Amino acid sequence: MRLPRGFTFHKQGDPWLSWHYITSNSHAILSATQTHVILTVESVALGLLVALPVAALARQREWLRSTVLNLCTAVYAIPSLAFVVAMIKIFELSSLTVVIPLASYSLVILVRNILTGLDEVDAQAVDAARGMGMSNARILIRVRLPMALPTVVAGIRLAVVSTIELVVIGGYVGQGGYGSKIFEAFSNRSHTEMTTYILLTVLLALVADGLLLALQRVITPWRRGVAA
Amino acid sequence: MALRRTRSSSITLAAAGIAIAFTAAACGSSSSGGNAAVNSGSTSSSNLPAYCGGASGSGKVLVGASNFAENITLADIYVDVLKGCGYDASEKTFASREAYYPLVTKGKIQVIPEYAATLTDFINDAKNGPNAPSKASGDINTTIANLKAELPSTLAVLNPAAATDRNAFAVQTKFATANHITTLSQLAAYSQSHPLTLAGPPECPTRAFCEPGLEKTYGMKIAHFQQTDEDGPLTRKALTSGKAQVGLVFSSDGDLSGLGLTVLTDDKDLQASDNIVPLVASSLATGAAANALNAVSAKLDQATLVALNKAVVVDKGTSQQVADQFVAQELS
Amino acid sequence: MTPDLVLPAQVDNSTWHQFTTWFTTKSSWLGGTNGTAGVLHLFVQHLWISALSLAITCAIGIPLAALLSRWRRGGLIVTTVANGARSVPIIGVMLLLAIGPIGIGTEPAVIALVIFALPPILTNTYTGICEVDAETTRAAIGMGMTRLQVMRSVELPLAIPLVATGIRLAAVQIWATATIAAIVGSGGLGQLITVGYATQYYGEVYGGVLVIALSAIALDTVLKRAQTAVRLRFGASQSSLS
Repeated sequence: MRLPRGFTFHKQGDPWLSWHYITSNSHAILSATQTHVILTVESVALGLLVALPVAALARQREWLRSTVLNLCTAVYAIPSLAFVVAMIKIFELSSLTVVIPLASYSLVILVRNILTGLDEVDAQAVDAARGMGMSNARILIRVRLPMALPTVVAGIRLAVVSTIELVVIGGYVGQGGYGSKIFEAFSNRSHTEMTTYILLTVLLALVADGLLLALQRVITPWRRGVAA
Repeated sequence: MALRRTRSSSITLAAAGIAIAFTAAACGSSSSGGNAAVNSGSTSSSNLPAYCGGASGSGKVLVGASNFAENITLADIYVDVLKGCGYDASEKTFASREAYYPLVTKGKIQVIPEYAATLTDFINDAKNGPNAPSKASGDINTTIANLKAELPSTLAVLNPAAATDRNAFAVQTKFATANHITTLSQLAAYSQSHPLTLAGPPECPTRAFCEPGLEKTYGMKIAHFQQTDEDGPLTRKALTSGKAQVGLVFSSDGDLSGLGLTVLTDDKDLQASDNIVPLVASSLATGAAANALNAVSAKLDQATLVALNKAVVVDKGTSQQVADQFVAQELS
Repeated sequence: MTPDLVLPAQVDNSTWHQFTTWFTTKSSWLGGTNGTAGVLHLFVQHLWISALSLAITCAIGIPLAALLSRWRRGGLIVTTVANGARSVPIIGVMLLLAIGPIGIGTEPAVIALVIFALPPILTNTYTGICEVDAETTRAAIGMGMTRLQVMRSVELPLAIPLVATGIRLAAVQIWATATIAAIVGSGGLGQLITVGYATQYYGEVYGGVLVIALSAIALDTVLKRAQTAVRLRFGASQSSLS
């Protein structure tokens, strides 16, 4: 029955953590990191792209605002697993299966934050701009948005961190960066692989949060010293 | 400020675009530690490994896999040899055959490590209804001939491997000894007074070889179905913890006895013997891909398959490491 | 990761047909004769997992927050724990517990859900207690109350409106996230999704999405009402005390 040479595999341990595992699988880790980062960036970017006009629109009328906020609640009520599986029928193998649900969740976070940010804008500054003869559109762009920027960036931070965590569910449908590896580790019953990728997800979220915090401080220097 | 805002968002998008291009390149490049992968990207046939049979391939190939250890490892091996012959191969995993098969027929997935008998019945059921008589046979050549007749013209099967994996039902060894149960018929007799809980993947209650098969062929009394996974850790946990008395596993598993589990004899032949066979898009039925995948099948005998499964599940290599090592040891 | 985008396939008639069939079939709701679970059974399972998780989260979170509020560095710990717990992938924790010593079913799901729901309860309770006026506390101590008595009869009651907010947020989060628990075999409404996907019966998937989302929205609405009632009652007592 056995082959002349026979297939043998050197037994490895399965500790909950192993540095050796990380060094000997660095390529797989790097490629999963890339996928994870790209899915996150695509989702948040798409969410932001849609959130800006939606938030601007929502400010026009009170009924539009409540409709938008109610829709946001409805979207947030769809669990990620259900959303992703529902999308796979439509987008099949495209990464949109994961990106559309995650962009929708980002959209909800961002719309709420942009609206809060715009609401907090000092009425006096707006009055002053109006006094200078600015149109409503110019006031939105030149005064309201810059003043709302800190809250908007805070929203982006929140969206990025939660998206990084949510990407993992994509592993259930075969595309989730670290998530695919976590599901593979589950099939293979590998503790080391599982904990490695769970910790990498947390680490990625912390790193992204730190970078965005730094960015927030750079682009809003007047807020430096104010608690984030 | 407005301008700056627009610019920064377009920069983000551009960065995302670059990143996508970067991954596409990375997907085509070598994987960790595999000898097969070292040749990837090279299309000059003089450098190609022997298993390509002197032909070379190109273009994207997506290999699909079901989400359980053996199938993922086989798919990893397929990806390794396809890359070795110059294809830009990548892999995706799916929850079940139901989930990936429609994408195979649409040409979105080009290669799947399949199981001859189950695939034949699956296609037969889809075509002729769930009560159609089975076209899978105990003889692999008959099964493959029937399978080829059932397949749409866009799909082909390559050479089957000698290695088989069949669906099997396991119980706790303690339980089997205490109740003198070695066959499924004996378990069915036991179940008349003690209705059972069955553990299996979500599709089990609707698949002929699973819950309906146990009920119809063996007359087993199943009181509850505990949804777990396809031959994975949940099924094992359900059995070892006693949440279920009987669970669906595979005959090629290398870890059952270590967990105190025993496979019962399928004395009424509910399960056909399932040889591993590559299901491919017709465009890959000849040439480098066919040569390479047939070379894998030729090396896959029963002992090797069990060794591969043990390497992943018991000895804890990642499926990628095990696949790389298989290609390095057996195919060069 | 496929960089080239595939055009969306049309949601065909058969999917819509499947959906209406699923929706109008009695066994979808009450369960099949072959022992397959219906929505009703799964709903009860979902409710049990969620309620258990919420109860455990409160039992851990509220005393922990109260304890930490006594400590100078408590705020830092609360923020760190909350932020850390938020970035942990919950499905990873469930799968990890399932291959570890915990096993399958309710236990790994509940443990993961508790970890996930701890941040809102912890932060809201902590903030609620810390916002209680220092003079009110001092007055209570002046009346001869012990620290424990102050906590129990002054600080916690005054923090109730914020604690209620935390409980509502945690409850809604748990309800939505419990869906994922179906992957580790704990049943619940998520099973409509896993079974529908594995058997490619999209009628069940879309039916499941609808049932889960609607029940989550209903829960949110009911809890918001309850919260308003709590705020009116205890908010009033706060002003009368201080």
